[in-house]
Amino acid sequence: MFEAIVGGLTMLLTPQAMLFMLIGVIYGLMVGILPGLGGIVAMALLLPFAYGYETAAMLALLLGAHIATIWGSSVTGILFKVPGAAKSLALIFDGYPLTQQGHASRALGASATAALMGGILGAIFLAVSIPIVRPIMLFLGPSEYLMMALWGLTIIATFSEGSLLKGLVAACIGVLIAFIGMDPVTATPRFTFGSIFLLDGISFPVAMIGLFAVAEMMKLFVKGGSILDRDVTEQRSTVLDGVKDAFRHWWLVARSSLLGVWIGVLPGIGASVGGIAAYAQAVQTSKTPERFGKGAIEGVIAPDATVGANEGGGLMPTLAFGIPGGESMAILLIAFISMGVTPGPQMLTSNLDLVFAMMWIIVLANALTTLIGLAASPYLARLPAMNANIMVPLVLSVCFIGAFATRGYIEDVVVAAIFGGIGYIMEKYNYSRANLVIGMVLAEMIERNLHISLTLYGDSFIFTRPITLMMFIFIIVTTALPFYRNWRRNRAAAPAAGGGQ
Amino acid sequence: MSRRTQENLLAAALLCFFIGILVLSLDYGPRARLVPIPISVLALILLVSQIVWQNLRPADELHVDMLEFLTRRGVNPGESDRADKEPAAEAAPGKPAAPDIASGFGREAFAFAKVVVFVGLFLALGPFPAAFLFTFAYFSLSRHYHWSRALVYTTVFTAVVYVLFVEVLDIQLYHGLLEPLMNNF
Amino acid sequence: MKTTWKTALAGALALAVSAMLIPFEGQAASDIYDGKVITLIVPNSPGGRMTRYARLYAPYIAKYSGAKEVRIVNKKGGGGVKGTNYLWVQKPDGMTIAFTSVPTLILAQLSGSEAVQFDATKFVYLGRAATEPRVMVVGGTNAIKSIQDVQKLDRPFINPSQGTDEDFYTLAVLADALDFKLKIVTGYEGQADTGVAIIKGDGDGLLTSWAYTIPLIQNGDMRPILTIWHERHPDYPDVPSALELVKGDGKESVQAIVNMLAMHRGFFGPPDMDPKATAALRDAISRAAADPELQAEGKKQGLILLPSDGETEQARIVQITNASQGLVPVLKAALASIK
Repeated sequence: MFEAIVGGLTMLLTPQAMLFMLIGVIYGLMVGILPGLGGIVAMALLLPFAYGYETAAMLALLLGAHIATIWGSSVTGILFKVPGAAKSLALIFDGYPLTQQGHASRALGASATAALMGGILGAIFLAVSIPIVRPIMLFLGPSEYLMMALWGLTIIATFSEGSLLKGLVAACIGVLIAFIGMDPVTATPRFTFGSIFLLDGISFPVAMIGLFAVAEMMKLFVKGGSILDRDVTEQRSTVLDGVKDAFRHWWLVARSSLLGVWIGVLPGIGASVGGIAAYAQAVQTSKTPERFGKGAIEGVIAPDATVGANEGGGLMPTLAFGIPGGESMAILLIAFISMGVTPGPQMLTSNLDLVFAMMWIIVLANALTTLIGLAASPYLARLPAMNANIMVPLVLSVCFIGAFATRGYIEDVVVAAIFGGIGYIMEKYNYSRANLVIGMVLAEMIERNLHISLTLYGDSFIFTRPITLMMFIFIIVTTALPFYRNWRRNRAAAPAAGGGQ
Repeated sequence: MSRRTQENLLAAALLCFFIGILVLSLDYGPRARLVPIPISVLALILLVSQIVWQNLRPADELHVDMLEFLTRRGVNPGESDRADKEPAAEAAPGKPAAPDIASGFGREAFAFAKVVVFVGLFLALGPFPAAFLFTFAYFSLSRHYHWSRALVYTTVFTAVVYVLFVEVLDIQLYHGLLEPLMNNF
Repeated sequence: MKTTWKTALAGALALAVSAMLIPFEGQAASDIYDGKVITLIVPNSPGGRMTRYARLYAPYIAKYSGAKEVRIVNKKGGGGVKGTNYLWVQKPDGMTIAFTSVPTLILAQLSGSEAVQFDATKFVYLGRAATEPRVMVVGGTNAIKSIQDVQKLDRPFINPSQGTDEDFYTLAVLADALDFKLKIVTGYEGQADTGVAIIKGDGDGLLTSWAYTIPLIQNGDMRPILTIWHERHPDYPDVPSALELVKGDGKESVQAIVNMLAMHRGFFGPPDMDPKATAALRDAISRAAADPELQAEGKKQGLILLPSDGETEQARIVQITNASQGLVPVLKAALASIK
């Protein structure tokens, strides 16, 4: 095994492979920064150029680009509240408040470092867990995925600051918006009013562009000035502070990375769920959950570590069974096949050095992205200080073109504008936008797995599947616990307060 | 319009939305409506409670609701102060904040109009001409730049965006509704 | 290679001469597409396999038709239906054609999908780039070992499915023709999801492509039990083909399904497309497919090629149309079963 680890690295240490990785990373950063487009687009566009080069160079180009897009998306999420891709959605929850408070450099530094640590830890977890991946994948099924999605819903409470009722209403709106279009389970067109455009549903990146970026620009126009808080005149912290933050929260990074690996491994859970799950985990394990959503640095670190580690996990269904785990893996599989390598468990015996080469690419591409990122962060962090008169037209232009570019449909521009209006109104009247997108992301996962579970295991599947039941109890307990604690605290505090008056 | 009226109007609009969803869902098959119906019913119950709640409370407490009140979740003095400011300011006309609100309404309408104008340009002319015109107009009409500098900056910006999206990312262009008309001349 | 005015003139002369000598083939290629831009609509995602086939073919179609460029326009959505609706209303001058999975379109139409605005049997078929025979597999540890075991089952055969794609309908037709009970479980998301479901035993089996499934068969995770094709797979001669098993009523339906699947990655134009343009494009597509450079390129990219000419593909449509009366009730019943 040690030989394979070294062999994998030496495969990569050719000038061609290194150059290709650099090209891939720079390209990926650009794609990531543009709203609406993610790593799959980057890989698909690079694929035609990748043929005919060394195996390692080809993988370095494709995988490098894919990895770099992740951090690229985080950047715009943190700085402008424009999530570059669905995966990095969770970054805006705390990253953007940090920017407003003058901590953009720190947030960017923490984000880049967390992504790197996530990438490295993810690769290590993966190497260690290769023997148990297969049994676990076979162990968990749709009913357990359903429970995971429900657990994700519990963070709705975090974003219901000021009004839990309104927060829940917002989540319901999100769930129902996700149901627009052809229902994947019963092939029923729902809420489409006969429109063929709506059959494919509301595109998630487009809705995010509208809800957050467009709405934020409208708000900025109304408010004037810049997106920074009025009393912020200069950066209050440095990139180095952010790097230190990430190291200080090493335990959170480790947990988030482990979560990221497993979300990548399990085929029924999308990557956009990953960031939200990481965030939920950070909130629930925090001693001070009330700081989240208002600029907690942990809220940046956890999702970035998770998405950083996620990529490695995506390799596992391929290594365990020969089934591509996601769209990005499917593209890598094309590369394998054209190299004459049959993807599947036999890679662990006959092409182990190739497997490790991929892990090395994940590590090195992350390192390269982070280096570039840390170097660029001080400059990037100045962007939010731009005057509204410059910021509004530039961001609106890029966002609407980005909305158009996601699928090539002009209708999506209108959708982004409508969601911009919705986002503005929701923000003004305290209906949490974060809850809406969480509802949107989890709705499909919940509906799909609920239907599969009901069909396969019967109506009372929660009670007949022991692991599902355990997870269900766990969810109830973790949700109820904070309420119970508060209730007790209030009871203890009430007589004292009453006595004082 | 008072904050309470605005809140009630929004809640009423949402109420219509959820009732609409509920009515539409009733037409779907038992499996297709399995999740939408309970969700819309739940949302309706939540909304009705919210409406009742926000009309029973004094105006300056509108941002707090019953569950929040019961659990006292996440309330510490600094925060509740900050959250209080906005509704309190609006509920107390005559303070210096009041003229702000009046002009704020106009600016809000203007912000919506701006987005509508941009989307209209986008539909009519296609992405890049729209981005160019909008940015240029914004720069010069806001008097942030002199028109000549605005022109230079806008051109550079549009060119960069064009290169990124079209050359690097290979996005297929949409040429706008007007192009076919222009071809007739 | 740049074309100088001399070679251009020589080329034009040569074309003019050949046009006079061979009035049909040469002429069509020269004067219809010369210097024009052909729009090739691919109603699938820009990064997907379908688009990669289209990108492989596009320059060669341009080369053999004389067109300046074959421009690929992705119009993704509704499982290929959206872009195809768009093609349906295009001018039939041969300047706009499409490339996608033909069975998906035909099945969407026959099953009565509300989104369909076209009649797939009226399109002008121009040629096929590739098709991959489908195979029915069961989980490696499943008690079912053969298609006969499926027919003998006293419970329904459980199929984890990604939704109403061509595998969904194909399996429904097979269940009807081979007379076994079928329960399709929809809601799975992607190949990995359904694959793992049958390996772990949540489901019995599914349809997939041979290329995808061979490593899994070699590991013992999956077992092939039926080839959905008119003949057996050369590497798996023990696995029967669907057509050899069906007798009587179901035969025509299964034949129609096999014909549809055979048309898999096809080029087609709007109804009543200009006959000259049709002839020119059919010719250009056939010649592109025969080009050794294209074949080498395809091999390098891992794109399996199995071309067929436009006339052959058009003939399949006739059989499919004739059999469609028998198919429609089966497809509608399958759709009703998941509502």
